Amino acid sequence: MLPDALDLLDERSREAYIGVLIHVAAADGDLVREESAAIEAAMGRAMIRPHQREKMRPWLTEPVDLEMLLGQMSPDARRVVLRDALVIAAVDGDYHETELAAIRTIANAAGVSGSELESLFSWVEEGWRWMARGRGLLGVGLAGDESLVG
Amino acid sequence: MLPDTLHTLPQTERFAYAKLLAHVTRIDDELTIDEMAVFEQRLGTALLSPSQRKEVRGYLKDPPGLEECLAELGPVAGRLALRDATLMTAADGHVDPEERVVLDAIATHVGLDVDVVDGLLQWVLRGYDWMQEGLDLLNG
Repeated sequence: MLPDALDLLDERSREAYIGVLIHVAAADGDLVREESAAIEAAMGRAMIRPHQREKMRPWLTEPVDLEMLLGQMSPDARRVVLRDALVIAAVDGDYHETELAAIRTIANAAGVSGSELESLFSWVEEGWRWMARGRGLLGVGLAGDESLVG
Repeated sequence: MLPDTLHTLPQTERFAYAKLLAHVTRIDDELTIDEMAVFEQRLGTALLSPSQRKEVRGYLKDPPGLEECLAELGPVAGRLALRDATLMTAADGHVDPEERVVLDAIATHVGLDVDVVDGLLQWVLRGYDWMQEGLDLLNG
């Protein structure tokens, strides 16, 4: 599988990482199935223990304070979670203003400039195109994939 | 790996998908931490129930046979499993011959030419590049 900076984070940072992603997913007040799947995938990728996942799932309806979570994270962890927050925010098809506000808070905490943030948004878009190409190879494309792939 | 359409499939299909990935994970008879993390990620994406996850994790210790896995897979879940099996087997930079045999078998089972596996391997390489670009952005 693809290499990831997430592997380098300690357990405390990984748990805060999940908390931040949940905060972003829940920011628009409407948690869709795509977001649930993305959060569960992130918990798996971060190797969060099953009993700890049970404790985290209520955060989907009662998100933990974002600033507090970011305060528990190393500078590297803040940058990693910024990247993955962009992905989580995009899974329901669009960036809601409340999601963008959370992303800007994370970017500030991570010391990421506006231009760097724009580059990350572009990177996420390229990721969607990559996924669409994969679906195209398999003949299981989704509505909108053709416009993504061009 | 970005979120995808797997969660939209019926639960039986998602379980069959995860079961096949358990088989693929154990082809080389080793299970590294990295492989476990990726496997857990895919279980999460599949939105399986806790009891189903437990059952699938058991397949890592006692892998099911390929034919058994394929027999339970529908066409869409099978194609997504082919894609993700390719991602997993290519994680260490190359695909072993015994892994390639399994990928080709999955492709054939879901009605795809084995050339599609070559296309998927190229697609995986592009994914590596994309992930590296993300890391480069994070590193400033």
